[in-house]
Amino acid sequence: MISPCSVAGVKKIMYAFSSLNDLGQVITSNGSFAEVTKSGLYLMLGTVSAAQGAIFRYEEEHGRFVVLAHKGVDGAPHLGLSLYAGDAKALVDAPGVVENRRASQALTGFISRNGDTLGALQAALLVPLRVGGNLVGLITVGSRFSGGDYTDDDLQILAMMSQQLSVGLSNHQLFQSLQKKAEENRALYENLQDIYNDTVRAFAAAIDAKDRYTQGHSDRVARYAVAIAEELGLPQEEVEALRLGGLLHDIGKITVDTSIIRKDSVLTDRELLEMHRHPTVGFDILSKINFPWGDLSALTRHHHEKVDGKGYPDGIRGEDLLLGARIIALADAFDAMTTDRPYRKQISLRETLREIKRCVGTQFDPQVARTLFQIIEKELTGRSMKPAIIPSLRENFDSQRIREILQEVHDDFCYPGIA
Amino acid sequence: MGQFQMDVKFDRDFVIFYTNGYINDLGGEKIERKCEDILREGYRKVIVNFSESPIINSIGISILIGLIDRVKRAKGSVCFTNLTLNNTEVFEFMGLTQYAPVFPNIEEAVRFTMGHA
Repeated sequence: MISPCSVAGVKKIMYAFSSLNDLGQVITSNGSFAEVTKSGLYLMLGTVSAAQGAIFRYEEEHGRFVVLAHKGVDGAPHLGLSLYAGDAKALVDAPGVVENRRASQALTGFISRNGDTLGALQAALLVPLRVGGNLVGLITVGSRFSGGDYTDDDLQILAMMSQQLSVGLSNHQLFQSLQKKAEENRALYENLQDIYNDTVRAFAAAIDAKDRYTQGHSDRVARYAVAIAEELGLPQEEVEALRLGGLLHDIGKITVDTSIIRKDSVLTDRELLEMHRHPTVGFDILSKINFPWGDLSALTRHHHEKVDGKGYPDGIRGEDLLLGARIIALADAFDAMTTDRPYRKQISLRETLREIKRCVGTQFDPQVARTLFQIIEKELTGRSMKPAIIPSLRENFDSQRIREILQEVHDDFCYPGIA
Repeated sequence: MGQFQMDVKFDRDFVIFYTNGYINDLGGEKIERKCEDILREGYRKVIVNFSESPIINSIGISILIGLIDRVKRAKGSVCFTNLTLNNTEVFEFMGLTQYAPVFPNIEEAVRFTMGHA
């Protein structure tokens, strides 16, 4: 026993306390888990003057200890320890530090079975790492470097240090387990999201399949709407809502008679009435679904509204109309103009831009239109990282045409309400 | 003090390690690694000068035990110099001085080393 009354005794106690304090700092440091466990082992060995030792993590599912760090063992020997039934309980029930040669009968099987590894480590002491009655690891400590037996004080300080390391090891294992769960959940979520996206795309394809002229229409409207939303700097959730809104905006057309959709002449009043019902039918379908992003049913209902209030079905005007609906309205019209329809051929991009300009302030929102123009300018001048519009158009853009279009883009538009 | 560093001076018959910085974390393992290198080169006598390392904690002690152990197994000798009084006492009660004597200065350590067969 150290005599605390002697100067040497006090110094030894101070040294041991200092090591305990250092261990606390190591465990709470920002170091990697490997650094923390290795430093913890070195601190313990250096506190009791041992040249060899190792720290192991307990893997209950495999019934083994896996080495985390070791010291004083040359080369890289296989340092695994296997546990049989009853070994873990024996280590949990063991005293804080087990002297190998005085181990209880319950542990002799474990020690003899793992004789090679324990021999390579010259293990004189076994220090089980436990938290709340559960085994989390094991530390082996070699014989005293300076010779002689370990004192009771040595065993006590090792037991105290092992309690701190046990908590550190247990926390790390908990963290790893949480990380694994989070990773599994993330993969599951991504899988669900893929299924969800595929389902929405399948719906969009089913809508567009009613008419060969509108094949790919929903997909392009979604792409254009996303490009406008991103250029406007809208939050990611709103961008995602617009992508889905673009894909599903015409879902109400599922109930419209195919002969009306495909008709290549002027619609009768009755046919027009049925056609004009598709935004409200779409609203009825989508309002029953709880989408995680935004109000898709409202985007669908209002994609034929106009900023002057002369659209349908509700005649909402100006900023009372959702920004998302104003974006989809323009993206929808842009695609309608730049693709063939049963009743007319596609028109050129330049003419489309002129038409949009003409309708700014009545049909289209000026801010949204200007944003579309900015995107087109960026894409035509090669300043867009991911062009979404120009590659979708069935039109050849030679340098002369690009110049004309850019001129169109640069000639700003006037619209009611702006001086 | 900054990160632990070490200079090495080679003599014909021995090597002197000049440690610089606290030996209180895994950075101190440089001493053991360097020791392995010089043993491979054939040197068997090592002097460690701690004049610029006022703090050596139990991680440092563990590393120095590793150093002594390696040199011992290679049938060489190690001695220490310029330790603070506190560190000298720690080295004594931890048993390091049984295998690695401590000298107050480098001259005495060199004299001991040269006289050591």
